[in-house]
Amino acid sequence: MPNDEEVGLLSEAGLDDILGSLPRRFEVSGARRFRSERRLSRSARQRGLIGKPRAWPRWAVPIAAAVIFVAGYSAGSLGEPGGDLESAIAEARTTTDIERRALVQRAGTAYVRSLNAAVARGTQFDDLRSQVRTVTLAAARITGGPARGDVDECLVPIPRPARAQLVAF
Amino acid sequence: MKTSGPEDERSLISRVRSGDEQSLLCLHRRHTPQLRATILRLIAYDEDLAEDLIQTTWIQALEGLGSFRGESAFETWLIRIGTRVAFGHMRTRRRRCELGVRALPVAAKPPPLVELVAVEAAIGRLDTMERTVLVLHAIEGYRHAEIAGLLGIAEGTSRATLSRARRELRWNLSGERKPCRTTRKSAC
Repeated sequence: MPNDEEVGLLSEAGLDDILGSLPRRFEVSGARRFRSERRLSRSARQRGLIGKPRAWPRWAVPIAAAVIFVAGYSAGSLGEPGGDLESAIAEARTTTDIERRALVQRAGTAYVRSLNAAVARGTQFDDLRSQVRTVTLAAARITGGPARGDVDECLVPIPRPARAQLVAF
Repeated sequence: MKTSGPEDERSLISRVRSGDEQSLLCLHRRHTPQLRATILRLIAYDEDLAEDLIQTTWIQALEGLGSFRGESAFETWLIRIGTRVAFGHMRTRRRRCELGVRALPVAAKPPPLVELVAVEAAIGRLDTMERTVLVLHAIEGYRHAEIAGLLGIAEGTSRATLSRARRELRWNLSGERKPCRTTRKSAC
């Protein structure tokens, strides 16, 4: 059988040399780059990914915490009762705007509707943990997340007045 | 905005996370040329399609920026997203673009034009999977395990595909007609 060179085939080393010489970056003209940048800016702005951050409504952190909490529950990463909820709240408080947007987006309007319903029923949102519990329970009803009992096990004690209101919810 | 270095990159990313448009555009200017090169090669040099996929890649990167922990370089992370976007597109469309002179990329420091045209054209003529594996391994420097993970194939399949792609490319670049015994398709 003839070898590669005898049949005029480019050698492996020759191919490596050629591939190694290919440019890693393709620049484009200034006008084209400008169009591309403008398109990206517009898309990102429409999605709320850039631009002046809006003031966050008071339910943003509890919703974000609830999402983190539910996600942790789903992933089976809940540890000591109570501790994970506190972690979720802490994490939600430190999320950046963009992360919080994504969390709230994930939560979807169903969470917000539930929360609004809770407010309409007179639930007081003085205590952040109670807010999270409320939203988590609402989320659980909708998404099939942790059951009420499971949530209770993981929660730190909630002030009595808030508990009474939550039972009503 | 003059920028360089990992510290500066981290600071830019942090500002983009808080919604700063100028920092986003700065990142875009810095990393899009390489993203464009990778995507163009993966999709066989359809420039209009590449522009769409580059936009999709950046939007996905922005949406996922919260999960970027800086364990790899931002560019590596971005190009990984771009590769998924481009490969996902090819998998659904299964279309093979012919390379036209119009579609040839403009390199920042072009090598001899004849050679560039010939090599890029030969890469463009590979079939989708061969081209993808070749670009990722031989040009982007991915390991076979990484390619396997990205494309959802076995590591051995990646190796075999690369071997086929290299042989095909060597024939293409040699300007010789392949003997029938080496072809898998009805090229002869």
